[in-house]
Amino acid sequence: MTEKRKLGVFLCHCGGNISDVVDVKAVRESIEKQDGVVLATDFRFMCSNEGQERLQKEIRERGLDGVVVACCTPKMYEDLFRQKAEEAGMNPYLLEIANIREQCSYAHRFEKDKATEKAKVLVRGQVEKVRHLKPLEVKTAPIQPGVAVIGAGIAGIHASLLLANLGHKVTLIEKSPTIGGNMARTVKTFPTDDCAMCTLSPKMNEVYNHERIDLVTYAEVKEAKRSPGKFTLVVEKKPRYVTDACIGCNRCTEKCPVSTAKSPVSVESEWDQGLTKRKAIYLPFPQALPQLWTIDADHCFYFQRGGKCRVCAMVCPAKAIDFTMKPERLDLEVGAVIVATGYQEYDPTPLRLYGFGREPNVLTQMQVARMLDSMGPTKGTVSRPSDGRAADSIVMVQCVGSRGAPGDPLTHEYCSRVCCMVAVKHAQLIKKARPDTEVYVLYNDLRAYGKGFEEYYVHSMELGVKYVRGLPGKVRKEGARLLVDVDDMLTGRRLEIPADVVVLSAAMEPTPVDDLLKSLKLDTSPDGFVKEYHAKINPTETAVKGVFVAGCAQGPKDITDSISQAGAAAMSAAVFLGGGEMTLNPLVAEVDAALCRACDRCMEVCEFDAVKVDPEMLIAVVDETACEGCGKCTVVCPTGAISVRQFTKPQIVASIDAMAPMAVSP
Amino acid sequence: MRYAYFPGCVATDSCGELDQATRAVAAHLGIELVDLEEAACCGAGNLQEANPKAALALNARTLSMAEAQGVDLLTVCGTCQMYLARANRELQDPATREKVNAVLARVDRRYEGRVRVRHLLQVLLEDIGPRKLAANVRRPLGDLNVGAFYGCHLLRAPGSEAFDDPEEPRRIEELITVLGGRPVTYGGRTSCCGFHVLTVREDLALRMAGGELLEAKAAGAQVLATPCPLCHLVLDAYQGRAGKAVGAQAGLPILHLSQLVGLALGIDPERLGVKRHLVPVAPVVRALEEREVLRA
Repeated sequence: MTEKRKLGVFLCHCGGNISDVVDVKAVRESIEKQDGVVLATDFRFMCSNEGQERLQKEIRERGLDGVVVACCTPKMYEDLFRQKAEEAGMNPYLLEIANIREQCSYAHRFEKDKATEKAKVLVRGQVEKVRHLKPLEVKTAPIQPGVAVIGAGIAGIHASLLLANLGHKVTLIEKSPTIGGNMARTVKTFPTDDCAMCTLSPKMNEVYNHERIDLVTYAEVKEAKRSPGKFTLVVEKKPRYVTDACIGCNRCTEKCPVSTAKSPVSVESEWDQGLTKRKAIYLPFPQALPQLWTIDADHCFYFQRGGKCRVCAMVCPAKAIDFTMKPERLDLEVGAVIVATGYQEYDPTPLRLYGFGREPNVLTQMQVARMLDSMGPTKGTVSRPSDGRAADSIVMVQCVGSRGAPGDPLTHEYCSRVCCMVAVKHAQLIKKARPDTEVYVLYNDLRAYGKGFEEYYVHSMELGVKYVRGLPGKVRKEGARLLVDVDDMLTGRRLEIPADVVVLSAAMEPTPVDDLLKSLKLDTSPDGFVKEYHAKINPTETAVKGVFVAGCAQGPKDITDSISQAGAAAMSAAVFLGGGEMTLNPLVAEVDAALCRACDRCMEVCEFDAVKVDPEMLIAVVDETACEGCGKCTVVCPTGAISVRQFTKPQIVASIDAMAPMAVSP
Repeated sequence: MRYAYFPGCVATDSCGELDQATRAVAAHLGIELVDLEEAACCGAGNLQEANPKAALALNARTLSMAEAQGVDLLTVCGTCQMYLARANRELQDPATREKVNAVLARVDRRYEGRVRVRHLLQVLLEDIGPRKLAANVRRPLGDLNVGAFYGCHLLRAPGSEAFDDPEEPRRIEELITVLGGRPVTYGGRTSCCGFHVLTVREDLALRMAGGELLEAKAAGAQVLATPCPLCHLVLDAYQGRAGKAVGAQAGLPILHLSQLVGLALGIDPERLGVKRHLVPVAPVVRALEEREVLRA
């Protein structure tokens, strides 16, 4: 089954890179007589303007309908040569590259004869492949306008603003009652000690008021379905039991009986990391957006005691309390999704040696951040929760839950990246506020890697923060204080440091959103964070086309990096959405319906969620907007029904046959 | 009646309809199938060739799972039947068994050699028995000419000689008769379907399958019944290409025993997965349904 084709072979010298090793003339002569070859020629630089013009001239004049360019890797100029061939009137997918540079002259520099023989074989194989190729058409597919951003922390907020400013319609979905995420809690940001809320709040307001951003708070994505060019998200809005009529007078919160001294039920404040209690009807924090109070039905006496308590409804001057609110379902259709679900702080309770959860005066850095807030539970002074006394000696412990031994089920193997600088920040904030406080930071390696970080770290030492290389073996209780045992690895001495408060620099963990990731068909890397398309050169896309990842959902990051990545993710999403249309790569899988038995195996192995079995027709259908052409499905298909265009079995076999005549066919 | 159920890989993956059909038939006849958690592949000869010790230990592990349930093992596949039965025979030797048990101890398992490996065909004819089976037939196969395609592995499994004659088998024909059909015999019915050379010598596999299909057709078969998902896959999915390879299309629908029995028992063809077949089964189903109406 060989097509009658007029084939041209163009051999490149690469200015000596190829021709110093490979005998190009010998390769040319070997191919000249091969069936269908009407032209075999060589040139000093095929990629030069002159080389391209020559390619086009020969295609036009000789009416070539198949070309092999023997040159460098197809990663370099395959696209260029195909484009030039198309301009000259040939179907671009009838052009193939034979790599005789990386695979011949570079790899076999000292074996010229063998390199030449290999070049002959590779060119012969590609000529035979081209003879079996079919012309392909490039198609386009429409993309649904609009982007859904999941998670309204700093990454989600930043990505939403960029996309909306570019003109895209954005739906920003947040599961808690307010936007702002973890950054809102952090009080100050390193290395400039900017007030976190002062920098975040304007961005929150911009999101809230933006005409192209739809803010959906207190809501979760329950289900996500991908179809060509479109994602359908089912979003469930939880009932707040407070209507838009709310005027923010706070009377309901004042009168709510939950968490009062007499109440048997008290709720730990999420905002203050459990250092304070909150009411069942509440605003998470003063700058929360939207400024809408929320009833936490799990703790509200109305819901928990059969409607007996209605205090909030009685004191509300705006009649904004509505106990009959039901969850609302929102069906959202978008073209792209950005996952910005962020992180949570690791719970150090399982690390018994540190005493967290057992000793009230052992805290996490996030709790200390709350204490350092001048509006926070201790009005800016780090104090002992046991008796409220200001702490005169504070010991910080690094790498809690991070950098654990491989396989340790209690800790993470990765470095959380931000804890060093968080400790430096908090240590020097404490020193600045109360210079007489003793502050120790017990570390293993102190990583001050970012812009201005080293200077910030050195400055904290000038302020008198003491850094001890070594992690403690034990935190013990001694009277009203704690004693921390640590071997100072730099002096070899054992220290016993008395502490009013021990602060654990707990790891960053991905927010648990397993159902969402499963629904979007996203993978996670071994550390549990969302797996990006390529860890090095493509950290914002994912294997599912149209789904992007921003901020700590992808891995531990500080605010600067979260913003950078969110910007990159927004840009990737904008490029993907383009003009509402995507160009489809024709070199993807296609199904021969007559051979498909609908066994689902292609579906099982596809990493890109690109093939589905039509339950009615019982035939596999490839979604060309998602297929990457990797060919996994072609390997598992028991009947050979699915194949990647230009890599079909006959095409590959023809190529192998030409290269190694004894290997395949008997 | 209770069995540990070992569907094997082809009946669960490439031909999922056979697992579906087996479960439907079992439920209909009151056979309880116990699913084995994380049972491994039988090795299918490939593992046996590459690492016989690992293959033996793996199959001993599967058998120990059935033993722990106190039941025999049911297969629906010629290849699984052969390799599991072969392993089982080797494991009857106490010295061998102790060696393998030393390996199994690492996964807290132990096999005492008490399980029998039974193919669906044996279970239908011996454990259920022709009388009960015939009594349950709702859609007799009537004048349908059914050719048995035994394939190679079932008849070469240890112990199969006590059940059937490896050279001149007759048990599938017997089953066809019980279901009210007309068995058709032909030479190629005990040959290899070609499955095991398919990946390396597709041309050869196609010529083998094509030749056998044409022989069956020439003998008057209207449908082929096979005890093996591997044969089932090749004869159905590769029939078109096999026809090209030998220059003539047989156009024979292929039914696995579970499907053939299922149809005769009156189970909804949809539940037997016949729509997945590349060679349409619809003509057979139509013929049977017409007959069912007549009998009523």
